[in-house]
Amino acid sequence: MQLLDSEWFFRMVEQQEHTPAARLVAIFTVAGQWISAPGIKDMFAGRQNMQATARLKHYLIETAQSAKADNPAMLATQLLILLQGAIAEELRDPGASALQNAAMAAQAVVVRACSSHGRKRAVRWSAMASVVLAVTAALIWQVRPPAPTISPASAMAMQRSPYIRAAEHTMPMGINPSELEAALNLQEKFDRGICPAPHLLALPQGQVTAYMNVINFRTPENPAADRENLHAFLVWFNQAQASECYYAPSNGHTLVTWR
Amino acid sequence: MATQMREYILGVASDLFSSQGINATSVDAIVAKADIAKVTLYKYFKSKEQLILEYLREYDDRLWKKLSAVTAQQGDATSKLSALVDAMLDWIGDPEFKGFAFINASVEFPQTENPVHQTSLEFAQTLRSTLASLAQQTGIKNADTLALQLALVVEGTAITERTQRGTGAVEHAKALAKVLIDSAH
Repeated sequence: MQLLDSEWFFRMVEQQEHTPAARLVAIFTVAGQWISAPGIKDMFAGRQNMQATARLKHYLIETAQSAKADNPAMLATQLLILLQGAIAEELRDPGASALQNAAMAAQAVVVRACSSHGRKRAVRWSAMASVVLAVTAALIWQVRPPAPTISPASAMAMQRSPYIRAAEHTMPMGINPSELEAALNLQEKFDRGICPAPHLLALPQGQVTAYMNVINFRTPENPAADRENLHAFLVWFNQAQASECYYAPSNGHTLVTWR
Repeated sequence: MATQMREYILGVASDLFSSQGINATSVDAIVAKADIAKVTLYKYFKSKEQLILEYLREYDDRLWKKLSAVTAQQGDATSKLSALVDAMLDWIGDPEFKGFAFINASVEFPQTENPVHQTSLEFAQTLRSTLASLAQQTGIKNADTLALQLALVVEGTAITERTQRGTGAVEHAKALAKVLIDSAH
């Protein structure tokens, strides 16, 4: 579960949803996307140590606190139990939609834990949106060949909830999570002026598309091409441009401030 | 005598499998621990794989005997369902608990075509279908969903207890199972 500890995972969760309660449920959506990314299942092969990392637990406790859960530590443990069970089941039997079902369970427990302050409704709505997102996203994947059968449970969940909205931020399919994270970090450096942003017109068109898809969380039309192009872009940037990045010393001694 | 020897070898192998993992246990280690000749082992078990499959089957038998004794004491389906889940969670909380054999086996043998993997998948499905039929008897609509969710809770608790013992996972899991059963109605 080490990858569930990385920066991009939390970033995806925050992008996906904006209320703490809904984020607690969105963890399952993002983990579902992550586990269906190529090569991830192989990483788990033959490993017993799928323990949740301290950082994930910390994140869950903090988010549960912001969601005003009655007992944040308990809610965090319960969500971790669900998540670990769902990942193990997903690895053993990918057709069982374990993460979707876990998302629904998470919603039930989040609603219950955060319901004692008269905000039950709001929580239920935002958490519901997250589950719908999970279901929608799962349906999108299931359309891709080879298409496993859509479980009756998830079909039912879709019928019952009229709040279906399109998945806004699905993980760019087929992109290696560490390169995804590298691209997102790079974008932050451009934004903060640490690194000079490359002139997009001077780059190969495919690389621009791949990069823009990642930073805007768009689902690419051609995931395989995006994967190669993003890799090529990152390699090129590291070789040709990374030396021009300027990292201000953290003690602030030579930091120039503009007034 | 012959069955006694067979049981004895299976017992020694089972202890080693559950305490140090299946792959980490070599045939040599089993032979050494049991203090028998390798030929004797192969007289009773064709291969290590057969030994593993027998170990999983026996484990499963014991587990279900224990669990059906628990559910038999309960009256209605809802209390049977809660009691079944609670019994599994209590077992996980036992200091002697070393993980469910079928869960560990499926992690150690991830290749789906492997017989060991398939056997452990069968066991997971038995658990799920037992939970589902109890859930159905309580009269809820999404019995399969609830069954899968409860199975996830059991499995997740087993993993959590194994890796972070003493964090109160079992008690939190019981509360979680209760919420899931309640809100399915």
